[in-house]
Amino acid sequence: MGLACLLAVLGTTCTPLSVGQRLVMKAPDRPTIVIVKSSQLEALDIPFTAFTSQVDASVWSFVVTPEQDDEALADEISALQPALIVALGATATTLAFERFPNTPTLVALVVNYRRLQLAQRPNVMVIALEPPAAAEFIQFQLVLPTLRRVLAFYAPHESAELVKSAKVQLAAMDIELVAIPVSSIDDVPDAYQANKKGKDAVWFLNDSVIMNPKTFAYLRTHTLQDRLPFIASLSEDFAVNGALMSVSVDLRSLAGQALIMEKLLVEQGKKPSEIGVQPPIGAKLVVNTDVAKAIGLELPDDIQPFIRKARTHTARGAGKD
Amino acid sequence: MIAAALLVVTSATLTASTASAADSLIYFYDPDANHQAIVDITNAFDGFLTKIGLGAKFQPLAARSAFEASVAKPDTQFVIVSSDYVKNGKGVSLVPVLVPSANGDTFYHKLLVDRGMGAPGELDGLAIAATLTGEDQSGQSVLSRLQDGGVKVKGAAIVPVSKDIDALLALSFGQVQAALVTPNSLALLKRIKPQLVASIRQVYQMPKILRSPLCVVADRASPERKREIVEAFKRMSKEEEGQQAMRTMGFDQWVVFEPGMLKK
Repeated sequence: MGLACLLAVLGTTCTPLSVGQRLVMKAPDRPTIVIVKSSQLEALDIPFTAFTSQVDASVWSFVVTPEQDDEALADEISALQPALIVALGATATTLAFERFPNTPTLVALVVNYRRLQLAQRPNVMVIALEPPAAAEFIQFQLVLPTLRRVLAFYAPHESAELVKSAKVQLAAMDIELVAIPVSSIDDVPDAYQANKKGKDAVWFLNDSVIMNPKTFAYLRTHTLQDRLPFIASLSEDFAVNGALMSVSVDLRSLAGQALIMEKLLVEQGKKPSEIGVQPPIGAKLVVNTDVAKAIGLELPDDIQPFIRKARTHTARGAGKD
Repeated sequence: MIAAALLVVTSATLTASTASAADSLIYFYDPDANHQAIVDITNAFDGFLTKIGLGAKFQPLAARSAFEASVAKPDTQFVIVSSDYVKNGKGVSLVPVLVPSANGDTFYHKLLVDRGMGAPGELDGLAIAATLTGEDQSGQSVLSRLQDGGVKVKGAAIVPVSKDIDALLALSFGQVQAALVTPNSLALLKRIKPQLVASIRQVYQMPKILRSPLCVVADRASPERKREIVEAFKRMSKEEEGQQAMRTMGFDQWVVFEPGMLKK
């Protein structure tokens, strides 16, 4: 996912309000599906073209921004009596939750679905933005097959559940996750220095406290100095900016997955709560070849057709030592 | 809110190669290519072409219409194009001269696999993960090919993935009921996580496909230029940049095209 899309997912970008756009009109007896996007980005339009063309429903698309008049937009959507709302991103999800608490809703592209309090929302099903740790680490192991001990830092109030689950999943893969709780990002340098020995990699996991520019810059610099693979979740931008590699959601697959969930709901009559939270299908594995070279890592021949390579975009010396 | 969004970053952009006025373009069109890696492929190919001073650049094209428009230009002399297009394409004559080969095999094929549950090949209404070709974003052509092969796929949905490994992982994690993948991806996952492929069952093998040949367009290249290009491509396996380009595309050498190859 590019930065612009990542920002949109996080609900921090603004685009002008656009009125609803009817994408596909099927027979009058077919249900109506409304796609609400947190911003009007091509990155979201392309994958959802396939969804729109294949789904057996009339499809409308709306763009929502934090600044706009929710009331007017909600009225417009209500008038369509949608059988399903597909909410893409945080702002769209907020609108759907506040205005359509009883309409079946498919949420995607929202960081940390655990915040959504799904137990209180039986009308909601989710495609998680975060793959299970096991799926993510199989991708990492394509590049680092001997990965056994991984260091990570986390804020307990943010990610205790994620870390607990990841430890169990990775243990089943013979990978030990050494997760160090920190109370603030200022603790990371000392924690890194104290724990780096004997680790095969450092994982920049999806923790909203730890995932910040300062921590990223510190770990990028010091893992490079220590020739330790630095691996990241959530966005390919981390690999482009100096992590060894990243695993992030594949937008094309997301649309196909949404179609499957729509079929379960509309055609097979399942309830959203029965469908629940689905991990994302597919992932982008991006490997920074400058960093690989700098830490002396050779990429096996047989993985090369399956990865996307990046070069470091900023002049920081990666690949020069 | 996650602060990662605040990172000052520049996303890698998918751009075509930039040729100088003196460079001729070798157009590449293969719907089965890994389009996620097209920048890598282009960079690797251009690195090789630059090194050997051939005065040519590699130009990938995602759409058939763009490829056909490019071939129609009178100065287009060489293309690398899917064998299916060579067999069935209309218009300008394309004459294959070299074919990629991986471990001695000039063909590739895909396998339909499942997790060994239920009757094999009965996928009506189920989900199949597959990499999709450039223009077939809905997967309908994949479903048609499976149906032609006797697989039951009525009401089935294709979930597009970027790489075969993702299709296998989706199958292993129970998110789809079948996956269409290359044998190489199965072998790779078996090496990394043998337990994940232990229950995987092959239910259908798609017909073999000849890898995308290097073709001369009509009679536009002089015999000297043709010889120059063919010899240069044959040397790819001996040059580091060439090896890198071939690895990225999943083959290891170019071999001379034989007319019988297209009939298989």
